[in-house]
Amino acid sequence: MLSKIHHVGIVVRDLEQAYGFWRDVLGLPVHKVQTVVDQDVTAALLTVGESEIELLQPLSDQSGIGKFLAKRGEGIHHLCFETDDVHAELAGAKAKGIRVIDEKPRPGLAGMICFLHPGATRGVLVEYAEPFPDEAHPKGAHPKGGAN
Amino acid sequence: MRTLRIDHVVVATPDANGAAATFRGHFDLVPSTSLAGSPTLAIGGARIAFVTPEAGTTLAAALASGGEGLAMVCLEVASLDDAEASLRQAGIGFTVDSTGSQRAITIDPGAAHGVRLILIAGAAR
Repeated sequence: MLSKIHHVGIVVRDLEQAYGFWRDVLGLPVHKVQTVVDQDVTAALLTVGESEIELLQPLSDQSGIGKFLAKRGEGIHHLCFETDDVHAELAGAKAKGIRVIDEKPRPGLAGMICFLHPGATRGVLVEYAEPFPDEAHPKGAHPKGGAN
Repeated sequence: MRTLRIDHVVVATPDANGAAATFRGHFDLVPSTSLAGSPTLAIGGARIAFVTPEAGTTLAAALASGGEGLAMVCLEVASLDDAEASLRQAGIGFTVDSTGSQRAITIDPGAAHGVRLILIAGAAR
């Protein structure tokens, strides 16, 4: 079951520069920063209520995020829904005939994640995320009952 | 500035009802309080609004250039007065739109890393 918007993903040219607005002006605390080597991206999660803003800085022009930045510039990249069972959610999507990008969940910044194909979702790149049990949202309760 | 939560995101589409039906079917989302007459679905404490923009608006331009998709994020802040002061102090460009007693701040996308970003206060929901 999808419980909430986990995060909105935003592609930025430079993470440190982006903090100047999202953290310092809007006042969103940085919750987690990580370089995802196989995606060639450094990403940061900034908490906003029960959700997050995910800032994505590409580390190469050839990565998916790098190509997005080159083609479309900085901006909104994807919408992530939180679930307590990403495997079941992905299986359910496939059963409905929804085109997917990831055939099986994989580790990501937000937990175990997978992406659906935007061609199936009105141009919106949708991600499902099941947070890791030891990485509960700093404000909202974890769907599996972890500490908040 | 104290930013409280994501109030809603906007999907720009030439077919708002069709897009909302797609999201209802795919994600089992339920209808919520409509935003400006647009079909709107609830997800947790936030909403997704499906908007077919009027010609000549920035959203219509975004739809024409980028196609259907996620086009706007609306955040709730504790105080619009504080938000205005923070944005001025930081030199961030913005406009204030008022409808009746409700106000909303639209931040210059150039300052928000390409994001069309709206700030509202709780009373504006």
